[in-house]
Amino acid sequence: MDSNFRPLILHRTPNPFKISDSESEFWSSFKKPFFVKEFLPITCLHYSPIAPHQLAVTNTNVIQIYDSKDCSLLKSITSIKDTPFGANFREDGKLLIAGDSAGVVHIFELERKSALRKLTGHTQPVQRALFSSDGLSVISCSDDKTVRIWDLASGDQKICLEGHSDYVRSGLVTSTDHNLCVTGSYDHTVRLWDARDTDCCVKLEHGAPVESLLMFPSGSLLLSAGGKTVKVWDIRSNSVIKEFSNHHKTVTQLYLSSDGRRLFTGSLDGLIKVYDVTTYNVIHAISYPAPILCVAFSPAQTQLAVGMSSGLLSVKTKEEPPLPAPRPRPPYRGAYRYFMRGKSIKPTIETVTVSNKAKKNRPKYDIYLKKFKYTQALDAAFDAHGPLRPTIVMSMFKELSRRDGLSIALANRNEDQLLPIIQFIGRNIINPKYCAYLVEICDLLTELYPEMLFKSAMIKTEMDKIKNKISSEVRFHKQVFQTLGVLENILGNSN
Amino acid sequence: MSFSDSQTLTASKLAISLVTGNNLANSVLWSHDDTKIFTSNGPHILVFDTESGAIIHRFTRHNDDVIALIVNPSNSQQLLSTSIDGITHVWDINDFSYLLSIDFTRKIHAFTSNKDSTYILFGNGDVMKFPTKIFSNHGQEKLRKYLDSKPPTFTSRNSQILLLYTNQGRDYLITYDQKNLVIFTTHLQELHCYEKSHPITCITVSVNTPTLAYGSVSGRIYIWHNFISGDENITRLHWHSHSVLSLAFNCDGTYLMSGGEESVLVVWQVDTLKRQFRPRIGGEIRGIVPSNTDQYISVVTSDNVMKVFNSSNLELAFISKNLKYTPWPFGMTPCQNLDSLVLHSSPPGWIQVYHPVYQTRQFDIDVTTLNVVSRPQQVQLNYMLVTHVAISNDGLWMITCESRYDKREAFRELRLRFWYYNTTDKSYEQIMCVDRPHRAVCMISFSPVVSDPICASCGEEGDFRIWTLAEGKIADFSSRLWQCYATNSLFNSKASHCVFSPDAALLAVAYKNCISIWNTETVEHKHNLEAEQLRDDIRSLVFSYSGKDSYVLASTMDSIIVWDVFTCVVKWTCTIGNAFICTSLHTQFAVAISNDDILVFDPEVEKPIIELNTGVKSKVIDACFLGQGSTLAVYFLTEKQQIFCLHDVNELDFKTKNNNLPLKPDGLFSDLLIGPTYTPYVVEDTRLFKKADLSIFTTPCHVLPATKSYAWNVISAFLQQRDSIEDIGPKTEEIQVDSMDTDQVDRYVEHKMSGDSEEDGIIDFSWLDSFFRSSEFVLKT
Repeated sequence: MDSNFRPLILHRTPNPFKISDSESEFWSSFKKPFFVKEFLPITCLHYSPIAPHQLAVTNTNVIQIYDSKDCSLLKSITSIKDTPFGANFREDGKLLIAGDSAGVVHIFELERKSALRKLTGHTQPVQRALFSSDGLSVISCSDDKTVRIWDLASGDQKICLEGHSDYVRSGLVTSTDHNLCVTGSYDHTVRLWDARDTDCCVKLEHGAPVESLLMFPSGSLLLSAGGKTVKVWDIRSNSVIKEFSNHHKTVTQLYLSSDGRRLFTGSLDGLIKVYDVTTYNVIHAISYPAPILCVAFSPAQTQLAVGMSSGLLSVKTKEEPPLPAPRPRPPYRGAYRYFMRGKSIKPTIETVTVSNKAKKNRPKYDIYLKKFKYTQALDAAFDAHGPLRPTIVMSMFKELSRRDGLSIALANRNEDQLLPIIQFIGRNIINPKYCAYLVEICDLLTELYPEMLFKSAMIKTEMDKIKNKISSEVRFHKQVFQTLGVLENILGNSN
Repeated sequence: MSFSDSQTLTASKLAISLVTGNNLANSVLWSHDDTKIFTSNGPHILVFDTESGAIIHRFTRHNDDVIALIVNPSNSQQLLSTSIDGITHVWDINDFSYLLSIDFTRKIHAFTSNKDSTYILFGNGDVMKFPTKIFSNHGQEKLRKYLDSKPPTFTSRNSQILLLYTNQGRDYLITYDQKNLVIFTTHLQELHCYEKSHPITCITVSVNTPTLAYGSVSGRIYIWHNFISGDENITRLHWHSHSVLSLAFNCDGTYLMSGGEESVLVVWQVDTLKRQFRPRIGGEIRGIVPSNTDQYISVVTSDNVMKVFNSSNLELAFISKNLKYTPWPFGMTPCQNLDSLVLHSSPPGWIQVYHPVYQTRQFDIDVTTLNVVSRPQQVQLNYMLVTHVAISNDGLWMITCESRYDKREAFRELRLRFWYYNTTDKSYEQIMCVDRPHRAVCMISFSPVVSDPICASCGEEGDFRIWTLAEGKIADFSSRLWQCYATNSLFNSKASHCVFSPDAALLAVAYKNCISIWNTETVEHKHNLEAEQLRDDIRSLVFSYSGKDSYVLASTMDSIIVWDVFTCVVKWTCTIGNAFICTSLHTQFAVAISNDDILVFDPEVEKPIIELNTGVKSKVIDACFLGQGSTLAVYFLTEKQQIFCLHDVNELDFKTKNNNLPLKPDGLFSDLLIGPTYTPYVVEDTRLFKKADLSIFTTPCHVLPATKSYAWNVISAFLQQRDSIEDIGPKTEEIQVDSMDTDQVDRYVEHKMSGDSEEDGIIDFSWLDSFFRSSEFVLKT
């Protein structure tokens, strides 16, 4: 048992736990925003599935390929005379497909600038064109209400799927079967097609112009976005299993991260929302300055690219942990640092430490407490400055109470010595942490100074302040309880 | 758990022995060369080594409290020890051997001796003189002669102390009685009585100078110079604010040491009255004894600790490692990983970890980290006291509850602290602290399941809380922080006990006249256990660990009640008052200890197996099992803070056990208690998956790739086509034959079909294996 004096324990109440959300932690590391300002809206973003995951950006004029590492422009594809739409990569990352406003589907080899194939047949703009999952055919969705499937090798049209009654603006191929494709149209329907048959297999009514489609890798759940709502379909039973709407403007894009854990929606209201795929609850939201047209999250999960209608392209990259700092140069002999070497070394168990018997710098109130001078100790606590002052004073009150020295410390004071105590009480009495204690102190003071509290002008004004504060607090509490009662009443009736 | 088993357990095989006894304060003696210190510890005498502070021997021959230790005046290699029942033993100081004993056949209060004469103050107040040579061979016969013939030298009714001062062959006997200081001069046969203004609390006399000092209740110390002359030449010293409890002169009488309730050792220079202080000794100072060469000062405090200081700089040389006492005994808690008992100790706010087999205190923990402040005059301070301690079965977790009652309601304090055992420091470190979890905590208990620590606390307001480890989330303390998992209550009346079932699935909470059983996981109220005998006085509540059926055992003022948890019916009751019941993971038996009796019983069987008499004079305040296998024993604590042990008569024999002897590994109490057929209660881990789950189990299934693609990947991982093997590997004849035989597939299918019909739906899949072996796929090696 050591026989040292123990300093006053400061009872600090813990700060309420900041429940750190793993999701916000994840997204907080996405910094280094990279902005490109174009003049025309960015309509489509797509990351190459193959490392180094180049980013294909389609704006109203041109298709640009960016390097995902340093966001440098690798190449621009300008050979499309009309407005290009929806550039995206094939699974192997070697071919790029895009539609245009003339209804032509262009297929590029990334090494070359000129088109590898030009598939003509659509009479209206093609806003969505994509490779089938086996990479051997091409599906194009057009504003002429048709969906066409082309053979990539020959460039011939294999089949023309008719059925939609308005623009077809979204489409996807299933990963499980290369014959199946799903298209969404402005006629409020989603249709599932089998390439081997011209008839539509499944027709789903979304209820609003369908802007974007997404299928989970399992191939059984389909998400469709149209208007403000997103619907989750079980395509085996053709039923909606979940419907959610977390945006106040049209949802323009659905995106699923490569590990299937995060679902993104981008909307014209300028927000990206991230969902938990099991519950479809929003777990994170990121805001952008303009209506969002397209979203892409890199397959390596390190980059989030967002295209906006104002022509702004934002690419946020996850920060890598910094490299360890290089060892500092050893100090010159005679330098100050030279003599301070080893200052921060901590002794190990074997080290023999020569203790430095310097006197500890105790706060004044501790020195007085050690000498059992309670009045001076309390005064010293009141003399403390800074944000810890209330904590020190309250801890001192508790310690004095423990030593049965409260009345000793508070008694025999004149007006000037009493004033800081009364002022402190006035400031802190409505603080719920201190209220109970300060009420006891007030009681004790009225016992000790039955006359002075109400005769001295200075103290009387302070006491009046306390009184007003308490009565306003009581009034406030009454109102809160009334509100609570009303709320309970309403809630009770609604049930 | 057969009955034959319990027949091996008989009362004669069990023994009760004292682990540690009463105060040290009665007497401290330095050996002539200062290398050893002899102290009395109840009926035991402890010998400390001055160099190391270790206990090097215990004399255990006395049966009653030892009141005096004296070096034999005629032989400095011998030690005389006198116990209160009138027996004096003579020991050899060097080899600690027992030499002889003298029986005075009367109660002795004080004993003092010089070269020629020995003076004894008997219980009736008579002081008698004996020649010192009776402490040699044939002393007993000489003694009888003296006892029968001699009249008492003088009589002093209420005194407990007898001092002897010898000057020029004249003996002066000094004693006091309330306000009266009594001096008896033997050569004149005169008795002088001096009445003082305040009651005298302590008295001392210098060895070489005729100087007498006495302290009083007022805190004043009086030094009477040359008292043998009879002139009242008195110096008055005043520093102590409370009564002076101990005084001592150093060898040449130049310094006077005093101590009292303030826990400050004051060293006065007698000539100049200059003072030196040694503050914060740790408890009220009860006995100051300087060593013979003036090198050390030993100070015994009221919490039964002896501290030895270097007299030159008043720095601590060592602290004795015996059990500390406290004026506020609340109970004890077994700490299984250290084989120790955790007891509350003085100074307030501390706990001590005591090893009952080695009889040493392992370490102390300052729970509250507060200064212990001496009381102001005429006021009793309410200290912050550790009222409850709970330790998990593996000893890794400890929860302490400290409280302080203040007359001002707002300043009342109540805290729960959570501690974790730090294996590098070999001590507990504080993890967190919870302020006012209940209005007043009545009980804290841990679940016996070690893998998933849960703890419950219940309070006076009727609530109980279940505490669990907080998972991750908060940085730094990953999964080391506790959180309140749930709270619930049945009534608004006091919840006096809470205890977990052996598998931690159930929690029993005792209320005024029923015991409620709760599901730990869902915190649902399952049912109530009730009985006629149950009133507002549950003393202890435990679950039994016996076999398949679970029993709840409760003891009240007058009986023990045993319920079957599954049927909620009282199985049996037994009338024994105020018993503490203890059970252990390692035995099926339960032991109930009351003030007078000990019952060993099996909860399944109505009749107690063994009934013993405790033979303990004071009230039992707690009992618990400690140890496992060969060291399993029941320890119980009395109000006087004696620890007793119920153990196998052959093995854990404390009387002969030396401090440093290792434990004998085999055959013990446990063999008797456990029996050959009993296997210790095994707590199964009910959690399906450990924490290192495969991520596949946590990923939502619709996000995973299609099952079809999965299946193909899995199968293709195991299989490869026959042609590729033929291309790479050497062709064997067998493979060639099989691969050509395409009809085999059909044959196996037929076989399967027929198997189906024969065995009524039991499908035999053995064909599948041979199918794979023989068809175009082979298992990858």
